Amino acid sequence: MASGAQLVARLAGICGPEHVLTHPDALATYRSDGLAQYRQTPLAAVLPGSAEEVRGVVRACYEAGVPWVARGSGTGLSGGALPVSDGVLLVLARLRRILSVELDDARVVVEPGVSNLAVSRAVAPTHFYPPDPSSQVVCSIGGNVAENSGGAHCFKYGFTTNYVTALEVVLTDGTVVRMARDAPGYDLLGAFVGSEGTLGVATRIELRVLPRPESLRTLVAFFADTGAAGEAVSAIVAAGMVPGAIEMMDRLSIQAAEQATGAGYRLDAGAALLVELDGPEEECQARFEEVVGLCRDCGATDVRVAADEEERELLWRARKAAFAAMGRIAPAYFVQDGVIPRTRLPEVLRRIDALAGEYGLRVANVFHAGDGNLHPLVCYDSAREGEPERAEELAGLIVKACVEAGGSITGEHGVGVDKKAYMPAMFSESDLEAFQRLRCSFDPHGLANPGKVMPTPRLCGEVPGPYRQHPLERAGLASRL
Amino acid sequence: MPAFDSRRPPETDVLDDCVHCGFCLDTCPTYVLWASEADSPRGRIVLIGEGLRPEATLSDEMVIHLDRCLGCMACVSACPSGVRYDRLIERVRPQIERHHTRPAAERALRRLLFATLPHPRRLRALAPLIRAGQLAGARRLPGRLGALARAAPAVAPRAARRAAIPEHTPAVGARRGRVGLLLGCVQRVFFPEVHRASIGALAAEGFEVLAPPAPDCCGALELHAGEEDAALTRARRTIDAFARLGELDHIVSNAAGCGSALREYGELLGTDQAREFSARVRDVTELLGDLEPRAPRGPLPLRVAYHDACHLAHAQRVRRQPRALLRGIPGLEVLEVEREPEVCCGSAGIYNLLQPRAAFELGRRKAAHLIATGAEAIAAANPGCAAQLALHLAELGHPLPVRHPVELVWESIRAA
Amino acid sequence: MAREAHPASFGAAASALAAAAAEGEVVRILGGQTKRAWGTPAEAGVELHTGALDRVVEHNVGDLTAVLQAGVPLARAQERFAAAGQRLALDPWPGPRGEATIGGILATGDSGPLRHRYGAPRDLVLGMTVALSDGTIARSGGRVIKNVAGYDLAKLFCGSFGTLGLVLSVNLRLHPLPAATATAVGTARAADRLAGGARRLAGQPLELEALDVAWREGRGTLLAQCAGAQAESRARRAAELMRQAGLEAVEVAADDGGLWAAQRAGQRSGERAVVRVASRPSRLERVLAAARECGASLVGRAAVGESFLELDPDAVGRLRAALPPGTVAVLTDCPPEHRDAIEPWVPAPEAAALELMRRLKARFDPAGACNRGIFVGGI
Repeated sequence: MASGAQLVARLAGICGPEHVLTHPDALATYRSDGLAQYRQTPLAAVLPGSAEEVRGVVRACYEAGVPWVARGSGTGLSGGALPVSDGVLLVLARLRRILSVELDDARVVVEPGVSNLAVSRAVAPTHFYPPDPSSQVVCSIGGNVAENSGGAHCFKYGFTTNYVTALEVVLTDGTVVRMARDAPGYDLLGAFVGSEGTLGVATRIELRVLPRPESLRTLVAFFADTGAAGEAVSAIVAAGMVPGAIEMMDRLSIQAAEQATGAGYRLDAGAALLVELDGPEEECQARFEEVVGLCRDCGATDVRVAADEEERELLWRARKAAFAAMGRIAPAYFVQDGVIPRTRLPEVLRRIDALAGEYGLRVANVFHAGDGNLHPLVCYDSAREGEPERAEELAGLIVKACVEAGGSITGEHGVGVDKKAYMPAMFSESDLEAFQRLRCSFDPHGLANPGKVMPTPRLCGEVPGPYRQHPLERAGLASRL
Repeated sequence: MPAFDSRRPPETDVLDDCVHCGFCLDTCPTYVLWASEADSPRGRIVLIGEGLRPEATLSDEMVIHLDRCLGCMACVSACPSGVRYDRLIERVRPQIERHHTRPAAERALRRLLFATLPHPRRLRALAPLIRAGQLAGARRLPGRLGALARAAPAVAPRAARRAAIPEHTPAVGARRGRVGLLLGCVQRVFFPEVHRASIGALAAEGFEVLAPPAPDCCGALELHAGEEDAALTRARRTIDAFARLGELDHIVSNAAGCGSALREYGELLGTDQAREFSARVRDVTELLGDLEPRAPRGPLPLRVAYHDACHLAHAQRVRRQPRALLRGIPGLEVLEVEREPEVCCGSAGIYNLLQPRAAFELGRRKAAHLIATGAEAIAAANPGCAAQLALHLAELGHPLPVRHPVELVWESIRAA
Repeated sequence: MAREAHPASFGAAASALAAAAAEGEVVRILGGQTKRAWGTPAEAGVELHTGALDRVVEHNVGDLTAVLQAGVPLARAQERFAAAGQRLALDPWPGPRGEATIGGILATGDSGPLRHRYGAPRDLVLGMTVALSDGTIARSGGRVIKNVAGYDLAKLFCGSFGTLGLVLSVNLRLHPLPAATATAVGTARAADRLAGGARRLAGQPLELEALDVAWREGRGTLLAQCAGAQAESRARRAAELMRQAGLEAVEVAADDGGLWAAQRAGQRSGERAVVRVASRPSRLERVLAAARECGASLVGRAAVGESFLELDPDAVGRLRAALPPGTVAVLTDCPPEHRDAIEPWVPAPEAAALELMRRLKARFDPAGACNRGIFVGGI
């Protein structure tokens, strides 16, 4: 359409023509994020090289009334970076400079395309950046901010929102707003982190880092089943300990991870519990012995303690590769991200087992046992008729089971497009309407990442400024409230 | 019809292994340079998948991104799902040669390269010309000519070039095995001392070494560039040449790119003979590094940074043995590259001639990371890497010597 | 004379708020009233007291979570948590009779020394139920520690001084109550030595519960609290670091309750003014210098960069001028007769940010009923 071509020309003027992609083959490479089952090609993909260019792009889209979706490394697991067909895909990958490292203030300032691991590397060896999603080798800080990413160590250390101290955000009309902790006024920063790219785009991110723990003790304990492993987790938490990480894997995921990494996980175990204690040496040592004892008390058939850094990395590599490694033992799978109160873990796991049996499908479980965040991987074979649909159904039932147990539909992957249909299972219409008030305050024209998070398209009512017909209105899919 | 023909097309089940996790991105040299999805393994997999669709065509856009792939296989090492990207790219390249018409200048360049590089006699004949050009400053020429001049390793003086490489060398002491050494093309002409060192070290360690003048080239350059028919011919000739030598325990290579190609013959030709041949292939550092050293090592007090050649580390998965070999040298300190160790130096066969811009950036980066280790010398097990690194180290003002690990081993043996 | 409402249920509270808003009234939301005077002085026609919304709705011991109604005094809740060996890791000054409510603490973003390790109130909130001035009751977040479903309205409401709506209840993350605590204390007369010591300890992997400074009458103190079974031996390590940093009279106190109560109390004042300063931790020397210049005493979280300066009201202007430009310096406590003369909210938000805040206010509280006028920009 004519205005599309005009916008593309304008974007080329801002970013340089080689950074504005319109060829269908190039655009095909941007059609999915980490959830390959969702595909959508945008009108154009643009790769700005600076915060100024990002602002220019957003402003140009605003003036053209064209929606946009921000993308970091495209590793998200909720389809949050899925493009919109009539919109622009705003790729932040080229903004990957670490702008400053100030260890006296325990502070790092980065552009959004910097990878999570790069932050920890930049402050090593004295400091580290705690939120560590399994995809940290590649996932971007901007993406972490959008999803409020956690990672294996979040039970003890918290999430991205606890570590972002300031942001520079471009709002959908091109205005730049600086948000900082402790600044007088509303906690815009707190509202923005975890808003899944629907309130604007961050172009400069200030992060807090911590001194690296003095001591690390890591073990893998093997159990006959997840029930026994779950009891060990309860015992550890009841003893008043907050381990750096407690991760659990079941038989199927152990097999996949072991195939991928050869880390030495026992293939005959029903469950593996990866426990890491960190902190001052005296505390660590004393509590670690306690943990080993508790594991054995709960029936651990084998406990393997990492003897050195290399072994520790190997044990972790297996855990972090588990999702991607599932590709080795299952033709396809749906990743879920439910959370339940930790005390309900055994019962929900039994329910998942029962459901999997009913549906005749295999479900592998990898999860952050400390905070009750499950990642059931529902395996299926798309060659078998009806199996993908049944798998999706099963995945949905698992999510509902989590909500029924007092949990959440998503612990860390975000709602995106993948889970928006489940939002009404967790939130009432009033709750959703309150969310919409927040969203509309930031983005009255609905340009930032439309179609994500909220289950149905909604518009924003009275909007100051000239009236622009929203693409959804044009398509007759939504009406102004 | 799809963009690819039915002659060894990229395999759908290899493609399907990709779960789109993106773990390959930060190890991919072109993604590291440009942060563009289409120039990443994950993106190239999508492009290849697009090409397999019934209504697809092989667009210029697809070819640009596929051509930019270095074939370094760092992505294969990084992939948790075990996607055999190497098989995909290797099958795509001949398809491109068959179905895509390149611009005339590019076609001419490729013809020139394949007419000279895999032919040692022609290379030798051209060597004085190349040397004269280098001495005259041809490296400073703009565009492709300059790139060619710069990519060529420093040509040694005539005397060194002339010295012969012994065809047969008996083992020192009790014989541990009988091996054939691939002399190849570029290595033979530009780095004959690597062959002499290989033969010396192998013999000292108890191997009887046969270094036949034929084959003249293993076909790696053609194979990795999609010249499938030429590569197949060379593969057959190579297997035959070594077969004529009688029983060999191993076929040894000291050029990472060549060793990697030799190991692919089984898959390429599909015959039992080829598979059996490939199974006997070893890199010289792999063979020596796996053994208990027999010849005493003399001291070589040197701080050496070890550079992992992609076709040795990723393609052949040989990392431990070269390091063990070097550590076995008294006084030698092995330094690891801290930054971007997985990322290719940009040589990648003839990549630095076909994609000079990217190769320049990558060479520059790698040289900087090597300099940062504080090393006094660099050990690299591939002639292409050696040339690329030497060039960029010099351009950054740190003309550190670049040696094949086996050269250092041989020096150490001689010093004992 | 303002009307009063003391709703005892969510429905009653929402109705009371909506009714007042519909009549065009300004509603003042009050809890324990320990921070009633904070913010810009403003009139209200209705006072909505949360005192009757005082149930501990849930305490999930095994999950380390709790749900408290807004009117629960934090001190009371802490007793309940302590009985199960747990606590909410939030320790602002609780008021003379422990009457500060969780709602008021969250609304003002008040915190104490534990902020060092556990963060501000917004870092401990898992979810929230609020009543908006049009009668809507809305929930956000959940009752589990890990949750990214939906928008984080709770963060928006924390520190909003009740201007977006009425907090009805809040879901909180708890922590184990430490078996023991011990505090290393050191003193210095030179500000740079004090700050240097703080910097030193902050950079070490000591896992301190709290790292505070105090400055009174020309003398500075550094306090570092350790918790756990090995608290005392760890505090001794901290003490050693203090000595190495040149601090004097360094000792370890196993019975450290009084020290920390004094730090909390130092954040408040009945007779003088208090300015809450937020700056980069490396600027502590500058803040101390400004405090000295203006005759202020100071307590603060050294590694967070949050300090509370107690000083004469007419020195507030000089203090703000002495601090680096753009430093947050918000007035909290102040004798009533001086309040009108001092702008509490410094620095004012930039135009773009303030515009965004106005839009939020307009959507959440279109009637402008909730605590109108006490916040930034007259919100």
